[in-house]
Amino acid sequence: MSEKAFSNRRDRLEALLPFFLNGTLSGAELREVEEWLASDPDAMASLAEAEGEYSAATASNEAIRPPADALARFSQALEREAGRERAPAPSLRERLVRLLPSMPVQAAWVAAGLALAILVGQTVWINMSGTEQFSVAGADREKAPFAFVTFKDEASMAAVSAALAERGLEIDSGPLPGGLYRVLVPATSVAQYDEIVAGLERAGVVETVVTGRKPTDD
Amino acid sequence: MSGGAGETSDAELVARVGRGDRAALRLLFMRHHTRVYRFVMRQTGSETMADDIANEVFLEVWRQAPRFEGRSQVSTWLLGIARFKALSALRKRSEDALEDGQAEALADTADTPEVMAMKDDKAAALRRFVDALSDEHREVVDLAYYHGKSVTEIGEILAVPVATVKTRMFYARKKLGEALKASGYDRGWP
Repeated sequence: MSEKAFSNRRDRLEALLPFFLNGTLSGAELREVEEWLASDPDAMASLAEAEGEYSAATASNEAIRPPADALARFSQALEREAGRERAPAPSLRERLVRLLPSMPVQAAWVAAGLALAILVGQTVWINMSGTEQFSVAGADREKAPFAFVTFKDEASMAAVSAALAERGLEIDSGPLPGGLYRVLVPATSVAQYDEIVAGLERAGVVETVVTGRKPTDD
Repeated sequence: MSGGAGETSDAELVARVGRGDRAALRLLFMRHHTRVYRFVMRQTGSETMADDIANEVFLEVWRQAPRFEGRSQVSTWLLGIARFKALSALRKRSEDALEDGQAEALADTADTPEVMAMKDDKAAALRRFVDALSDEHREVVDLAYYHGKSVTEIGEILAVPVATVKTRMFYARKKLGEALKASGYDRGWP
């Protein structure tokens, strides 16, 4: 089939209207459609019809819902394809939960006390280090700059916490399937964001960093 | 989709996938899976096939990423892979059906799209007519209207010349107009 199939100019322009609507028309074809819309009253009616088609096609597609667990199952398929990734190291809380039930009661209290002491000590150390903590109000979190980060399996919680605190970073959510963490980045410009992310990439505890939302430079 | 302002572009993510970065592939999956799934679902009409093929598309990205040259948009590349895999799966399904002696078409006892349209408002009727277009017409309509692809990009995805894309779009829109007219809805063209 070729463009000779069009018996007249109107038919050819009708075929271009969907591409005018989706914003991909350019050059001579764009100018021709614009001239047609400006000069022929029927053209605006055709454009309205094309808008109806646009809505219909969009509604039909959006009615299709992919399965909710698609990413998790894809991650499993990727592991089979590319080789198994080591599971992320358990968090301090998970380690304590595993440890405590197997201990005598007195030993469990000692372990819990020890963990609390470590936590308090860590907090004091972070505060005394003079690093300004990054925090954002709940409403601002959705708009805050972020990056996706995976940590090395052998990295301890203390080392991860220290690496993040050193840069004023905060884990917002995670782990997502595959051990991804969404980390808030306290940057107000793209340059600052890139600098922080580059520093994070060099941190010994980090396996990979994928750039997420950057601040918009005004 | 190539990521909003300030976000890593799709092409950058593919480059990272090419270096073995699984997190980058997962991010690419999060960005594009829904559209790929919907595209395959429209092609095959099967949720199971759409699910399997959409996964396969991204595994193919894992395999092919080192060779991606960035001549087309990543989303166009993904849809091209998806279409090829969907057509292969459909061909295999049809061969299997023939082997199993199940080639007889099921009798369609439902109303025709025109009769159903009498019961709908115009927007619902138009949606029904879009769904009832032939595969070759519906895919250009979906690719232009829902996926926002240009004539050239659709040509790449379908592996046909741009002139063919335009004529398919022309006949698809003509059929929609005729179906609306037959159902009593006024339309100036065709």
